Amino acid sequence: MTDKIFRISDVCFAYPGEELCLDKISFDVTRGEKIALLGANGSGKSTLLHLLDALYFPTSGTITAFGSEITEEAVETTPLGQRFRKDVGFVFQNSDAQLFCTSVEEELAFGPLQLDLARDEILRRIDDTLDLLQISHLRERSPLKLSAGQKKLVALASVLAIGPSVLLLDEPTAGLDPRSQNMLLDILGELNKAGITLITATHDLAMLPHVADRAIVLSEDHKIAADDGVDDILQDVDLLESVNLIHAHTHRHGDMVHRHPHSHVIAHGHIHKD
Amino acid sequence: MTLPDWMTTQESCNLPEYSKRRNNWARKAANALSRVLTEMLLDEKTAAQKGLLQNIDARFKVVGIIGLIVISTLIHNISALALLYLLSAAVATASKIPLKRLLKVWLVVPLFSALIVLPTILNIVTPGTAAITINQKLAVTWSGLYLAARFVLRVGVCVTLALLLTATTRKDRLFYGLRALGVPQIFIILLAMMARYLEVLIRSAHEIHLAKISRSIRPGTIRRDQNWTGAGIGMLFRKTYKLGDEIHLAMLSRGYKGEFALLKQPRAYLRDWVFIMSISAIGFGLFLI
Repeated sequence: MTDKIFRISDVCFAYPGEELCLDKISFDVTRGEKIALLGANGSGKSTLLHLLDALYFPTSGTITAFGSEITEEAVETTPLGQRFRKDVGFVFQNSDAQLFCTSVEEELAFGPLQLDLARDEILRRIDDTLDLLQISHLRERSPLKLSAGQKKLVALASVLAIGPSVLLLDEPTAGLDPRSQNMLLDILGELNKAGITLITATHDLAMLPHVADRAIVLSEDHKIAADDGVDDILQDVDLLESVNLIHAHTHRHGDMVHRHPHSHVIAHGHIHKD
Repeated sequence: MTLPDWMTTQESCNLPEYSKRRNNWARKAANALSRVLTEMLLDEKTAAQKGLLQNIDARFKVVGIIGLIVISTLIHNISALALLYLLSAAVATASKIPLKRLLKVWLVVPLFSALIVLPTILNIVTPGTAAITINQKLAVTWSGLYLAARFVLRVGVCVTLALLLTATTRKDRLFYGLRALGVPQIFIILLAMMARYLEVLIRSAHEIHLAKISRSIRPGTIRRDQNWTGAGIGMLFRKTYKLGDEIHLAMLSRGYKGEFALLKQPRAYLRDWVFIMSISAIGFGLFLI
């Protein structure tokens, strides 16, 4: 089994009739890694996740997954496509778009049913996943009626039930209350310990150390500005300022004008574990 | 950063003279439509209760109740229709359908159908023996009254039966029941998606509307309101289109290949067969009256 999960080489992407929103992106992803795609709004991190999930395809450059090149034709017409969908799960930022079935149980069954698994196996997976995320009580509920935190957990469960080895997460904690955020981060940590590769798109520096060991920073001109360990990235104030992830904050102490980067992690030099 | 002067001064500006806001029927109608749609299509509290019809398999319920609706349109005897009305009311009670919901159907729908059928009671439409004489030429006839009563009863029965089906059946089961009737799968998927996302879109429409109200200082002209409504519909369409695109991608991401499969294949129990046989017997009996 290859340890190299993704190889992204010189990938450019533009939506039809628009400017490039990803420009010459190259990096590798190794099995079990915990990576953050870090960038300001509009830097292209969500689009990159769509490319990694083979929902969009590069305008130029190549993406190789599990040793095979991912093209539209390969995903739609060969067994590679089904294998890819089983191995790579994507938790969308908008849970309402992801939860399209009429009950939580049907939601979790959707992926496994597409894999033609036996019904007993599907039911076992549903039970296990609901237990793991402690949402068994939501089983019969309509996704429509859930809170934002519950929707996010059900969206994650619907992907985990397929049994992916790679999880792509688009701003997973956006809009969640602190308790739901912590719970989700704990679960993601456990999944990574179990060997699942995590690739998370975020612009939240406070969350960064919880979801990644390595960060790929996208600049506002849609290129890779840095690819390094999270600790090194967080200490590089000039880099973070240049990609619009922190900004200089000016205020007065008596007569003295004081200026420092405005970000909890950078300014206070620590993160809150819980 | 320097704020412009007008932003920091609280000088009085020339606000329009207070005038009584005109009755905004469009807003009221939109709110009522949103409320009714949410209540009728999305409320599944009754379906989740343990009642008579809730225990019946959706496929049998769809076949049985649609069968009764068809029968009610074929019956000409007013006593048989009245009996079916009473029977459906009794079943509604046994199925724990809230009285408020039933009353809405029973009061509003027959009232409107009575308005529609009103001219039928006059001798110029339905000749016959005069029951009430209005003037030398115009009278209400017994045969007209009979026809009108039958029409109103028939509408009432059909609507009550439709309510029995939709209120006591979860949407996913109802769609599965339609599948059993041979409705193509693609229509079932579209219906399920519509039911799932209707509330999301209603909420969006409501938010667009509230955003407009929060920045409206004086009542607009009808023309301006019409322009705004058109723009709002366009905005909602774009949002719907974007959401649809995201849903499709989310489905592809989880391995969708163009076929929807269901987890639970429903089983028919003895009570379901008893239900369908009872419906057949009732239908047959009604024709004999």
